[in-house]
Parts: sequence; structure tokens; C-alpha cells
Amino acid sequence: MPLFGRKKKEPPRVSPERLYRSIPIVSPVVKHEEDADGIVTILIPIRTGDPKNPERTARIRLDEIGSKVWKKIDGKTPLNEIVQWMKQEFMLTEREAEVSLSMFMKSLVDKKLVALALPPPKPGTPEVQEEIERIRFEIEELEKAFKKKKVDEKTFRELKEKYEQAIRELKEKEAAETKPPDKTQVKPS
Amino acid sequence: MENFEKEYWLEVELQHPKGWVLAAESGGILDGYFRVDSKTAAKLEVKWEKQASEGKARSKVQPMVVINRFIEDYMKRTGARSKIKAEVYERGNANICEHNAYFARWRGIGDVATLSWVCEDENKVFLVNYYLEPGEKWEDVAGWLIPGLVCHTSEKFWRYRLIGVEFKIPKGYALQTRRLLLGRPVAVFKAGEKTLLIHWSTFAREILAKYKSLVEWAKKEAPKEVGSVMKGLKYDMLKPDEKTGKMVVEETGRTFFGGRTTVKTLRIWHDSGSNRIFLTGYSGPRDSMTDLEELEKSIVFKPD
Repeated sequence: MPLFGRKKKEPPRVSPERLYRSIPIVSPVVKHEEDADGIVTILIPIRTGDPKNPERTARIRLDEIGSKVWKKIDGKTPLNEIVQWMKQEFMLTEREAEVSLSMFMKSLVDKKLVALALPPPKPGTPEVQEEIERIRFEIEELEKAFKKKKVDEKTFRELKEKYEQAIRELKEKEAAETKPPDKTQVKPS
Repeated sequence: MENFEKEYWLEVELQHPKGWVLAAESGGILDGYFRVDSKTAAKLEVKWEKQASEGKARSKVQPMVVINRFIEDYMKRTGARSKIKAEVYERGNANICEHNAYFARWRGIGDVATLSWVCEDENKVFLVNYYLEPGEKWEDVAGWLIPGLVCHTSEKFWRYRLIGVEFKIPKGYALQTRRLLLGRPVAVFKAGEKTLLIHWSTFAREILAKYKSLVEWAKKEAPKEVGSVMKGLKYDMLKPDEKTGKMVVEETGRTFFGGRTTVKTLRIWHDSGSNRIFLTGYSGPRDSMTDLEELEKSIVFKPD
């Protein structure tokens, strides 16, 4: 925690169930190479700021376990399926697989090598409100970025409208889902 | 009952719905405590305390008084700020592991069912709390919780189950030290001058591909508890045992006065069936070495 200044606001919590249905996706700029033993080295392009040599490649060599898990990140397989695969592959209990995977994913997400694509919230569950709060948080972050002139006005307006549209759609869907059944009955003639 | 799984910890056996996990624990010699959580909430707490031994004067413990005291203390600790008062709305009896137990259902910060009984066989007083969630019916919970509770057995050992691995510890040993790291837990049990130790590490195949041998693995990865319990044993001295296929190091000595033979031993092996490296140890009189053999024979990997 910083000694001075305010603590950065945390994004709203995503339920573990929804998080485990999310799909990890490797950043499009990140590549990897594999050696004969199947060991993966992640290649990350880094801007140097040097006009003569504008980009260099940082390399992260994974171990055997990390390499096997990395190869499962194909942009289609959700985390819960990777957990099941890890249980079989490494003979782990569910909890061991969940914790190992979440620690590995956290390190990849923190380094911005991987992003987690959350599934749409299940209608009629607290996931909907959770998603609305998450989008509101994104709007706040966007407004801060706009005030600091990190985003131009056109992009800001477009993105904000998209986010607000998403909230409206979620609310409409939820209202339709939770609408009580029509009680009007046709009287027999 | 296929939706339930057994939990064996600190000389207590119980069952709970699959997916719940041991979330907190303490004690092990004169008292014991553990808590089991579901994925979203704390659900179940077990506490026990050894009573004063027979030789000493002791007052008869009344389980209902134990429950009342617990509720009072609980509300003092958690309810004081919110000014909520506990309301006991049901009291009754139940039969737990052949003992007459008392129970109370009460509302404080949440809805709780508390059970208490005295186990004369083990000379322990027990208290169990079950935290009910909205919509959960105690009658349903009692149907699987109460028959599954075991506080004493006629067997010569206590079962333990930890992160998918089950093993038996001869009675008389108490859990003294443990580090329940996921994937590499370690537990040390003591009974007087005898010590038993168990540790295991997941990802054995992948780890051994890195270290190439169990000796190298032990030198780099064995938990510090092994060194402190088995002082003087060097991993470099580990030798394969032809009979068992395990890597073994053993040191014998004699007690200062009695001249009895004592043993200190460590055994390490790779169990490819569970993809784990197991490490066990024993220190104490040679004539009790069978305790270690019994422990090793009992180790079973039971994935969920």
C-alpha cells in the first residue's frame, strides 16, 4: 500500500464460478517458440524508444509444467476445462489444479501476456449486477483516462456509448427474464 | 452418498458435500480445531479439548453449558459492535458416535446449529458448529452430518486426509508441526520420544525431469521441518533399498542410560501412480519402527 496518496480503486469482483468459465487469450503481439523437449519460450516485443533499434524481444522460458499449460491456451478452452485437463495430466486434486492454474494465470495476466475473456453473465443471477458494476468501473477508468488526455474525445465518446449500450441491454434482458408471468386469462365462452 | 466426501483431520472423521475444503486448523495435542468451507462460505467448525486425566479431580462437563458458553463468547466477540443478541430457538438431543449429544439452533449474526458431547473413550469434549445459509434446512444437514461424525474408533490408528492423500497415524501420536502448503504439505507427529513425519510433493514427473534424482530433489526441495526433526541425516547418504525401491538413509544410536537402540531414518520414493514424491521419516526406539512401516503402507492417493 502506498504511504502517500490514495490507494488505487480495485475493479469489482467477478464470481469464481464465472471466472472459471472465462477463456484465456494470448495477446496478439506475443509469440512463442518451442524446443525439441516441448519447452516453451514466450517472446514479447518491447519498444525501446531508440529510433535505431525501436523494438527488442524479451524472452520468458517456461518450465515443463508451464509449457504444457501455455499450449492449452488456444483462445477456445475455458479455465474450467484446463483445470480438468490438469487434474488428469498431473494427477492433481481439483483444488490443487485450480490454485496452480490461477497463480500461473495471474502472473500471465499481470504481465499482460494473456487476457481473460469473461462469458456473458447468466440471466437471473447476481452475475448480471456484477457485470453492470464492472462496466461502470470501466467507464470511470475511461473518464479518468480522458481527463488525463490519454484518450481523444472521439474514442472516449464512442467507447462510453458502447459501454452504456451494454448496460442498457443487460438491464433490458434482465427485466425480460425476471418479468412475472402474464396472469390475464381467457375466460371460457 | 456419492455427493459427499470424507474428511479425516485431527483425530476426527466427518463427511461433507464434495468440493468443500479444510480451510483452517490448529491444535493437535491437548485440543484441536478445524474449519471446512464451501466455495463461498465457512460451513463447519469442529473443536475438541482433552479433559483432565482421571487421576486429577475434574468436574463433569455439561455439553449444554459448553454450548451456552460458546454462544455467549461468540456474541461477545462478533455481536458486540452490531448489538445483535443471540436467540436460541431450538434445543434437543442427538446420538453422535454412540454418545448423547446436545444441540442448539440459534440466530446471532447468522443461523447456526451447535452440537456438543463428551467422548469418554477419548476423554475429549467436542463442539461442532454448522453455519446454515438461507434456504438450507437443518433437518437435511443433520441427516448427513450427524451419522458421519466419528470421535473415537476401536482401530489402532487415526486416519488423516489431506489434499487428496489419505494415511493412518498410530494412536498415541499427536500432530505437532505442520505446514499445509498446497502441493507440498508436511506434517510431524509426536508420541513421547517417537516422531513420525510425512511430506509429499505434486508434479513429481515434471520435478524429477528437472532434478534428475530424488537425492538432488531432496537437497533443494525438502521442507525445512525434515532437517529440524531429522537432525544429522544427510541427503547425500540416501541409498536405494532393494526390497522397497525407496531411497533410504538410516542412522542408529543408543540411549544414554538405558542403552536401547534408537533409529533415525528418512525414506523417499516416487509414486508414479499419483505423480507424487513421498518423504517419510521416523525417529525413536528401533522396536517402534513398525509405526513408520504402518504409515507407509497406509498412504493412498484419493483424488476427488
